[in-house]
Amino acid sequence: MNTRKEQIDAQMQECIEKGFTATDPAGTVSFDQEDLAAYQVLFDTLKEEPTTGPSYGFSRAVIAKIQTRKDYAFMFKWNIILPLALLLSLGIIYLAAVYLNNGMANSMIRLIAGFKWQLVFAMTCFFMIQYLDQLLIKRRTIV
Amino acid sequence: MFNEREVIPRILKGDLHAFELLVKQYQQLVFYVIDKLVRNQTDKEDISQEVFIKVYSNLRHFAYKSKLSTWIASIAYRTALNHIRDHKQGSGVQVDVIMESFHFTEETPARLSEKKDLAAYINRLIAELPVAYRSVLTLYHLNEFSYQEIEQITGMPEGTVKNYLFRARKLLKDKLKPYITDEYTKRAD
Repeated sequence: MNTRKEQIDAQMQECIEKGFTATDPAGTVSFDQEDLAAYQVLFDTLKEEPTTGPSYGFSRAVIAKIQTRKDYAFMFKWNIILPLALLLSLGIIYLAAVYLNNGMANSMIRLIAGFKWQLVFAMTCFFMIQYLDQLLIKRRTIV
Repeated sequence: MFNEREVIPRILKGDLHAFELLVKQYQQLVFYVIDKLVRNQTDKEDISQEVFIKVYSNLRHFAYKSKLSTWIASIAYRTALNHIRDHKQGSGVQVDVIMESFHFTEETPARLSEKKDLAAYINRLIAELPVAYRSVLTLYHLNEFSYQEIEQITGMPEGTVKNYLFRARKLLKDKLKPYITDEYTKRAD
């Protein structure tokens, strides 16, 4: 605030903030009355609340979004855990078959191994769908 | 009476009803901040919802070092700024603007007719201000935060807050004064 004019403006702003009105003669007589009136209108308007506000069901909409996110996070977790548990089980069965030299288990594993690339493809698709679903749902609930 | 020290622990335990109370308590605060900073009317409610989702996700980090309202307002402010940056809303993108070089857009007949409604006219002028000036005006006058709280919310030093507030008000007053002068002349006649 370098100039004298700016100093006067600063004093006027302070004066209005302290509750003097544009028509109050006490202590405000040295100010330009039109400046003071303009400031008064401005300060009054700045305090006015916007005519629009959040919608009636705003808080419920927020809670619904949070609940949706929680549900999806829960489902996502289980959709990952269950296939991983299946894979782990297959691995354990295979190791058990190797360890026990069980012919029947070995032939089952060989059968599964014959479809290994189809299985890898199916698993990859499954995890990709899970990931994309989570990604898109998350975005939809925010935007 | 809303007691944040009683409600926050309930929310942290997963009580969504308690969080709904918090939303109801602060929804106007958030909406006022978003309303003045974001120009696109349709985005305002979505951004306000996003603010509360962030509040919910980060509430465990709230350490009672400031008032809850200040903390929520800072999330609202940063969310609005991110939205403005992502959508590049004109002069609003620049947070630091040299005020001397700022000019309102030229008057148009439509805008002149708005002067009949002074409040609408002033709000239109405020909407044209750079985002930093709109922010301090809103936080100080509408949300009634102190200079120190605005510093916490926006990250601007207190001196800058005072300076922006002074310059924004002066600029608006200068724009408003010819209209007030007309009114004085009419009354004198």
